[in-house]
Amino acid sequence: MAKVLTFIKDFLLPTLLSLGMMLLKIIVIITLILVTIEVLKALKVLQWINKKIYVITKYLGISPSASFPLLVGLIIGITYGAGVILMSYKQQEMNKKDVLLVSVFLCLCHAIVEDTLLFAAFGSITWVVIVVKLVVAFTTTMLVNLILKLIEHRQLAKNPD
Amino acid sequence: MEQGISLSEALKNGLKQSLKVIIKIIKIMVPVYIIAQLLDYYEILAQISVYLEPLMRWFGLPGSAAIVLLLANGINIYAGIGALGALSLTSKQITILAIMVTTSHSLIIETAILKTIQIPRWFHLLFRIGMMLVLGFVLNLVWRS
Repeated sequence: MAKVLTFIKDFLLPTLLSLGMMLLKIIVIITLILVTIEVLKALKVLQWINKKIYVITKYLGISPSASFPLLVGLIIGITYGAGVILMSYKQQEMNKKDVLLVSVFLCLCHAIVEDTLLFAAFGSITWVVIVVKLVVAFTTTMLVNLILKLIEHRQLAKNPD
Repeated sequence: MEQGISLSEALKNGLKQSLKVIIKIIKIMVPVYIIAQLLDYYEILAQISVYLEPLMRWFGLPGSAAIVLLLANGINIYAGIGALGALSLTSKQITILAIMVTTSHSLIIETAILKTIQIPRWFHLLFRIGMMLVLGFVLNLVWRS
């Protein structure tokens, strides 16, 4: 009985509390982001932002509408980024290749503001972390895009129809 | 594209979309989070880190830094950072550790999340862990302090 009580006191309560806090945070952020996105869409701001970002992100091989999920994931985080990707994919604003390329980029580089600042508090060199992560994410995504293109060409050469 | 959508309609759409995504994330996160916390509570994560001492030398890091990588990858970045406070590292070491941890962390949860956008589990795990190890190794090699 005492064992069960300590389990509840030391594990169950703090775990459920932190879980609740995390979920609350996620719910607030997701709602804010998804509502903001819909409002931005209604105001046609999204297209404008996409065009601006696309100057850089076109080198990754993604379509213009995929650059916003990329931006959301890069700045806010992969959970929220994936939510936006899922929504864009269902609304057919992103194709499979976009999803893969954006995912590769976001795997390597996401939540750059929050995560980088957390480590800076312990003495990491912030500009090194950000530059290394952005360069690695960009080059890796471009490389994956190149590989996908090569596979596509090979398949076209095999079945020319 | 959607033309002349009013702001209130956009608000409604956004809330509807959020509810869908939130339900999906809760379904994934609640069981996963509790299991990860159980592993931590029964000190299974701590036992594993003893075996990782030799590995950490490749990144110019002390063996104890393996705890940060383990907690960050097994639970989340906050757990990893919690353990970071107990270590004394140089700024080069913390910077390398920061790049490694921010490249690969919260693997159980993020694998499940990426599965929802059809990224295979094996690909995600191999890619994240592989890039983390390569980055740590190369940075330690290139960075002459």
